[in-house]
Amino acid sequence: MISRPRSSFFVLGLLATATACAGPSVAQPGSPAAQSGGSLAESGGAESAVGESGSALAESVWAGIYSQQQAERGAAHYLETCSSCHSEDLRGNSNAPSLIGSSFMFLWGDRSLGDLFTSIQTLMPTNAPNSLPPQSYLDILAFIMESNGFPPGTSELVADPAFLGQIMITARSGL
Amino acid sequence: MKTRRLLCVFIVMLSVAPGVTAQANDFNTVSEDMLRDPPPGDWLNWRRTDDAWGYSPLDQITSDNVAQLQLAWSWAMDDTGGQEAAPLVHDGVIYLPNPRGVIQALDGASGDLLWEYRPGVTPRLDGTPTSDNSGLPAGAFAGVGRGVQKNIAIYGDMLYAATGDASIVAVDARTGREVWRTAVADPDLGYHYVAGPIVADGTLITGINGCDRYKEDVCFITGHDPLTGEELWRTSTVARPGEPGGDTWSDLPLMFRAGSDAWIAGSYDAETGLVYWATAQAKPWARAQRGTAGDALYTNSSLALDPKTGEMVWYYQYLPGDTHDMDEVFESLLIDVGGRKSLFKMGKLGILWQLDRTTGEFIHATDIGYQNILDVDRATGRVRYRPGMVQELGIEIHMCPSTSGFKSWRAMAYSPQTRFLYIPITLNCERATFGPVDRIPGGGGTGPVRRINTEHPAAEGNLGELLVMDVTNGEIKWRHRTPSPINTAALTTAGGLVFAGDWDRHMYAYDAATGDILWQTRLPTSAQGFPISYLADGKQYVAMPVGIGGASWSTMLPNDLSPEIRRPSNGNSIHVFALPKR
Ligand code: HEC
Repeated sequence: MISRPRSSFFVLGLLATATACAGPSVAQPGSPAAQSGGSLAESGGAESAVGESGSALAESVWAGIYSQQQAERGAAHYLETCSSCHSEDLRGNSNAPSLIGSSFMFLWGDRSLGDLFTSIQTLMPTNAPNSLPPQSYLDILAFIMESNGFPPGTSELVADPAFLGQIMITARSGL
Repeated sequence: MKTRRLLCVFIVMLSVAPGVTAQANDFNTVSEDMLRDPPPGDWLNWRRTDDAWGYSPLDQITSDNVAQLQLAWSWAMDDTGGQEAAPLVHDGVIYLPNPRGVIQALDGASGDLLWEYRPGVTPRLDGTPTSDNSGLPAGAFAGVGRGVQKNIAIYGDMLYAATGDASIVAVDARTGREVWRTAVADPDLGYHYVAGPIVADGTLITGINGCDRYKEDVCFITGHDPLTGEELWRTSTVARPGEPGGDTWSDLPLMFRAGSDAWIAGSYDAETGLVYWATAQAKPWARAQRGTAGDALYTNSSLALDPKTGEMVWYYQYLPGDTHDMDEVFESLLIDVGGRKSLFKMGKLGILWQLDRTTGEFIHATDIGYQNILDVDRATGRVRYRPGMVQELGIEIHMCPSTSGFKSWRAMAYSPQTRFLYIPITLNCERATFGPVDRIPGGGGTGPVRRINTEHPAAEGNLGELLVMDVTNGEIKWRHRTPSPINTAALTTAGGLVFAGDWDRHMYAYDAATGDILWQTRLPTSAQGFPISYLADGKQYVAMPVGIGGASWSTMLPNDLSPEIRRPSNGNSIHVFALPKR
């Protein structure tokens, strides 16, 4: 059995994002109201599914570009290799940044999935970069997509640089 | 004689299952007096003495004979976590903290194993197991996964360790058997330890880590009864709303007052009767992320605590309202200079602070001149950020150092012979764009930073430096630049020597006065941890921990800025050197 991320924080986080969420916004200095949620799931996935994954038309993370099974495999790899720094709920620790919410969109918004893949593969985990098979990194990528609320589709992400390179990570569905 | 006894113990041990303990019969109980003034051959505190000098009075190995130093033995350590060990030595036995809570007792002369304490996965506060099939704790953080266990303490017949799942344990120093275990905080909330306790005035004192994410509690330091584990006091390292200093976080509720982790062990002065513990930066790192430009007490401060009660007798905040992840949490050296009982500290910025350790009054600050973030008034200690350096979110700044810092956990050492400080430095800068955090329960953290590592303009292609300063006047006496970071604490000895190692597997012995390299060798992977010197069977040894993991920067910077330097990404171990047999 794959154990899914779960924790007191994870539940709290879900509750809070459900109530306090807007799209990624930039917090202003000194403004306690600068709540930037980051649940992309709410900002629209439902309305658009741009064709099948793997097709040349799929250019956004909203197009269903990974499969549920792949994300589940990715969760297992993530727990084993990444969670010690980024936490089981992906929100980071005293050393590593959050990989979901406004933090993730700040780091990766409007950049391509190819960039993210290369970055994870060549830099992570920090103590042993590029130590997993490429397939595991791809699966982890699918899990990160799922955790950020991007919808699954029917086929799996594959390590095709041209394909990954054209998929943009965007806050809302569409381009 | 002794070796033979230890050997017998080892043989007895081999005949039973691994992990089962053996009895060392004539263990000399470690008294409070011994801790205050350790026998010359012992290393009883993480920096040997209460004043954190990292200095051994042994002088068999000298600048005249150190060139003959050779490997006496080495020992592979647990390879499942980050390795930053600060070993202890008592009566020729090394007590070696390994990653993930493992402690081993080794014969200091031969490296033979006397016993091993291997806790495995430990239960949560409510007794339910933290383990699932993945073998990792089920908590949100799994700080345990990183596994760093820097220092342990010894007192009475016991060793004391602080765990990755926020417990403190007592282990019988004679057998390796666990005597008690006290759960201090909830690891599911992120709490964990990377630094271990010290013992001061009969109290076991430990600082917690993992206070970065938003929750209804803050970081703290606790005092425990060494015999039972009972918690005697708990002092918050964050000023709560409504308390004195509480308004330095503007009107942020407790939930959003994060950081001030106490992730490095403190020092103690039996004369002033005070324990000196320092705190880390506020979290998230930048003011704009936190939503307050306030000082954020008691982050980036030295706290002087009464070891019996935890009462904060004074505090001094080095960087009010830090906004760049510039930790000041590191070791506190207690040195008397110019007739003043002083406390010396250096944080990531590379500013050497001098306080009066009786009163907490500021005495002096020496900026080594590498940072570009702020200006410090040498007379008052007040800091002023340079124009543009209090960053807005989404706007790039070029800062030196990077969030890795020039100085980090790699503790400096002091030699009373030269009156110099030996400071391990990493030279680096970064282009940094700080981004927003989710201000929700469980959010916060460090905050995201788009980082581009850059070389330091003064570094001339080097990432490392052992910087040597005269403590009496702040003059730089010598420096040794290395292509990769100086990656260990420094060790000084009465033989007129300094030892340190770098990321690129070098270990160096320097002439403490001149900086001449008198001996060097290569190790299996990065030198990493706290080197020590001790006696076993009357002979002096120098032990160097080696390994990987721990602070992420230590891998990322060299990989990024000097990719031509490669090292194995495993190999946690300890390497012990001695002069050849006569
Ligand atoms: C030992 C700790 C550690 C482990 C394990 C770890 N990371 Fe990281 N990760 C970090 C740190 C520290 C950073 C911040 C790096 C920086 O700012 O330069 C980071 C940054 C990232 C980023 C953002 C990178 C960027 O440039 O924006 C991603 C994505 C990431 N990690 C994914 C992963 C994945 C996936 C794994 C598992 C395969 C993993 N990490 C394992 C410590 C870790």
